[in-house]
Amino acid sequence: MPLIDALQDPQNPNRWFFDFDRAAPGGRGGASLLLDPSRSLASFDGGHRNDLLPRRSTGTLLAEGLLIAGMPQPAIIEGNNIRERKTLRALKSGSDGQGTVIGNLFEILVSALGGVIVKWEPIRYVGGFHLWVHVQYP
Amino acid sequence: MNTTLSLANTTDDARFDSEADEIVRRLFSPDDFALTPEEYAARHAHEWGLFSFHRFRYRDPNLGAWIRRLGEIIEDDTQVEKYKQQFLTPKEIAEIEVESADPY
Repeated sequence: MPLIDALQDPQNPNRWFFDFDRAAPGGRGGASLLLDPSRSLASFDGGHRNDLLPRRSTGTLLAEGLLIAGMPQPAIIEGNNIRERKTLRALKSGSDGQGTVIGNLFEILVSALGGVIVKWEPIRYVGGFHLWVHVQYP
Repeated sequence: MNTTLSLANTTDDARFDSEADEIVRRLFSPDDFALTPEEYAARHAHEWGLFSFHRFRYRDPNLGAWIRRLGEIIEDDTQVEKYKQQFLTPKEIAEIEVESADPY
């Protein structure tokens, strides 16, 4: 039995929502994402933890969702429109994202997928930052 | 700093051209929607690692208006801080600072 519900947009097969509530009912939480199979890119643009799960649980749930969504080994994972304050502050200060809250989430996600992050790539845009991690698999 | 355009920047209109009513009703509780977006942001903005739901389409205009206002606030730290001061006690603000340190 999966720990999440993965919902595919009927109008756009690359648009998904992972609902984390099943992992700890009542804790809600989930993530929205867009897949770009031509670039092997999984772009997360909304994310809230399940409030009833222990710390560092979210990355594993995201990995499960990517398996269900048919992209078990993305080459690039994007955090689109980062709002987490400490990560945003670090990126504004020149960090590449490694060791930040969102960076650590991606480390756990990539580890759960069996890969390693080989490049950190913050992308500045008007109003904020996206964060890309480039991933390789053995 | 790399200047590569992200997926979002290159296809913003298409990327968010989906209805998100069902998604946000799963993510937000009825108690959340009982708050104004301003008070919700004061109490919960720190829980969101990524937020773009204000860019989607909504069938329910009231829901869409609530989410769009929330998105405006979440994208502007000064507004979040302003509403924290307006809606929260110093103790609640201190508790949020502790919660914000929790990894995902």
